[in-house]
Amino acid sequence: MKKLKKVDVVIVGMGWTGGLIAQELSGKGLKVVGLERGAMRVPEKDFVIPFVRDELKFQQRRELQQNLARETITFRNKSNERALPMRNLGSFLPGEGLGGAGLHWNGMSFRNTHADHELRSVISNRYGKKRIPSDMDLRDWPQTYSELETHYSEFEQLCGVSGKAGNIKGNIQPGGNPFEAPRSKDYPLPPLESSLSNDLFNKASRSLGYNPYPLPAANCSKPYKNQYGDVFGQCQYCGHCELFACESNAKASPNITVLKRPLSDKDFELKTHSWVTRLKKGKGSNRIEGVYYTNMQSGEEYFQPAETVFLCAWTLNNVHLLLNSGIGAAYDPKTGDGLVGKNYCYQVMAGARLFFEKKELNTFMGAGALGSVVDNFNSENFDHSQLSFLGGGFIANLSMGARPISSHPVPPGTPKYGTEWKKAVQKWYNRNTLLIIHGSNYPSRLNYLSLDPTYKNVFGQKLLRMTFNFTDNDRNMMEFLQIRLKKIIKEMNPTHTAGPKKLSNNYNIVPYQSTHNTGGAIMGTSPADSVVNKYCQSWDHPNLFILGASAFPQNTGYNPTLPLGALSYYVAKGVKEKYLKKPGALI
Amino acid sequence: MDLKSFFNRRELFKLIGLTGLTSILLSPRSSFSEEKPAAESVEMGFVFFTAEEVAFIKSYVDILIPADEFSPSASSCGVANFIDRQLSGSFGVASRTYLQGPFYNGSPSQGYQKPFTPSEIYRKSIHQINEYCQRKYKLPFDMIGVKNQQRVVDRVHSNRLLKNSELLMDFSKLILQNTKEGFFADPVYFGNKNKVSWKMIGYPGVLALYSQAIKKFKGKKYSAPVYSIEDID
Repeated sequence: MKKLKKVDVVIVGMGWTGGLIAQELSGKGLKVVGLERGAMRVPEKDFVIPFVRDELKFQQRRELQQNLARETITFRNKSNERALPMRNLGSFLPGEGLGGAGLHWNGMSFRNTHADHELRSVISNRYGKKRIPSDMDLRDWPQTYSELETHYSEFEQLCGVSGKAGNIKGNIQPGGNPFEAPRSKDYPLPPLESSLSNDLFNKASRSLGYNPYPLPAANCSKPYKNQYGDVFGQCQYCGHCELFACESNAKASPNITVLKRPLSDKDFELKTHSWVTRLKKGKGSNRIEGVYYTNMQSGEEYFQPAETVFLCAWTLNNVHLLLNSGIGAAYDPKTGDGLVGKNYCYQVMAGARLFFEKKELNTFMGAGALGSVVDNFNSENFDHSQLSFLGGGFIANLSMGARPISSHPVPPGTPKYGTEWKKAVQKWYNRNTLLIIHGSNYPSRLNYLSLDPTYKNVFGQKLLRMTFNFTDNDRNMMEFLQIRLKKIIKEMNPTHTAGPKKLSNNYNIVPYQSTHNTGGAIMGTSPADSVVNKYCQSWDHPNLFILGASAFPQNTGYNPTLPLGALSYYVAKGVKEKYLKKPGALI
Repeated sequence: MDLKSFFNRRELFKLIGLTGLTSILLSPRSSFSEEKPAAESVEMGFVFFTAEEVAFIKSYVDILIPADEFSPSASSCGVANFIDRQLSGSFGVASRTYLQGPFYNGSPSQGYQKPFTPSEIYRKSIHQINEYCQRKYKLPFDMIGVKNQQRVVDRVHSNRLLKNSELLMDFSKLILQNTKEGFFADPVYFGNKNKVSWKMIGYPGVLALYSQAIKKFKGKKYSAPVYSIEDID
């Protein structure tokens, strides 16, 4: 093991959060090292036409995702089951390499609602304190929406989000989301061009009295230059977005934005293929002394000492590193003691495929975040007083692009192979569309992350173990949302419909659902019930910051990236204005 | 102008949204041709499958995707070659799969829990299905005729060939997935010869620059030359 020279800052993980922190700390004379366990990814070299459109490589073989041969997680639905390794990727698709999942996300860029940031208070005020079940640990975020608003705007500007504002400074905007919390500024770009299926969805949902609006997209509707001078191209609606990198520079990624500042700073050093295995706690002090990592190309192990450590890996990897480093007490669902691994949440999803005999929908044209959304049944946008659940979700029609291997749906009852199947594929490939429910997931005492006693990663370290199942709250919520979804479907009047399926009794780790895993190192206002404070600073170790959706106290009905970006800006501001001047506990 | 040079990414990037590159590229006067001149047809060799297995796999995928009014058969589109090359490479040895023990039977929600790689599943399953055909028809699968092949394949895919065979259940999912992958993947992977499946469904290929077409062709049938990776590379 080789000990390296001490630096001011080491950042673990070079995706959206790590990249944003690296940007905010660059140009200040600080020696910063960024460690990324995956490969270097340079869009203008690695992702060009025609190779960037290789569906077999990027979608089927998961080229940009984590290689499970080296590390995976184990999974079980309940504590009394034996957790077994997730041997292949399925339910969620964590990224690896420079830019992380930010390189191959879809770009869906929602702000949370006002209530999402003050959830416990809002629900208690509306329905009484007793309404929240004792085993559902709902929280207020330690920051209000108003405190985060400028940072939401900042991140939207950074990414060139295309959308239609619903509420500018309290003024409701026609065509936008009327449930939106007030925003100080409009979106930096107008919405993407809608698809025909979006139009059909809009018409149907309007006739039901709902308020459809264009899905906010970090896919640029026009060429764009952000506040840092980063240049974006126009979205080509190529239909190769999620799981793919963008050759047009139209989809925001860390690689074409935040990482540019540190990479041109002489004091910043990026080390790819550098896999951090654990953090080192100081002896007799509350400091983190640095991180151990292995260069995956040479096999050599290093110790990188640092004044300050930013843990910016993916949600599950943040929690895994904390547990494997013995930082903080691991959560125990039996006693309720311990905090690391607590409040692990996910997303509760459903989908329906609609087939229209007489419509040419040009399904191969699309963008990762091209869609139309109804938010009437999300969050606290509707009255829950007579309902058997809390939470909600958005209902949307998505035009993400039908790539031929992964998207050639056929109506129910079609054979799985043979001439009849081919006939149906030919008939319906261009005549179908997808509606989804994207639901919140509130914490359950029984859902958590811990270390597995049996299975090991490539370094012989214990794997992270996930114990997770859907709750009655999730099932009741989904039943309610599906009734609304079915109304929209009926109004759209398709020739055939497949789904939605009832939410399964057991969460299944095989089919893809979303990579919106949250919690496990949650933020709060007291060390008694949270791992980090509102600056994502560890209560136990003031020179350790843990950023990511791991800090979310619960998961909302929205995609997590925009709140994550806003939170990262908020943390960076606190670090720059307070911590760098006087390193130590900020609260 | 040599359009290939457009695919220098920086050039492309400068032009997108500024000069309406898409309209240039989609014009029929594009200087690169949609179809490469047909090379002398050379039978492609197999590297993973044995001769017996080649015969099996060709006839099996032709039951899944037969020749009909929609396309030539899977094997004549190169799907058997596709599967062969996939199994001889990283997919075949499950290079990105967590394969460490111990191995236990899990619940359905825990996913695949066996130690076998795709290449092992294929080899063992082909052997078992051929044994079945030998017992029942005194001939290997490829020799029993299309009608019987259809029967055998239907029984494999409804898991009724051998009593509760977990192996064949896994095989049925795998071969269906790989056959469709080969049929719909870019021709650069040897299946989908002449972009036949893309033409069948109306997928216009990998150029996919639709910033103007999304509006112009809303609700209308879109037609344009179909480009594969090799057409542009």
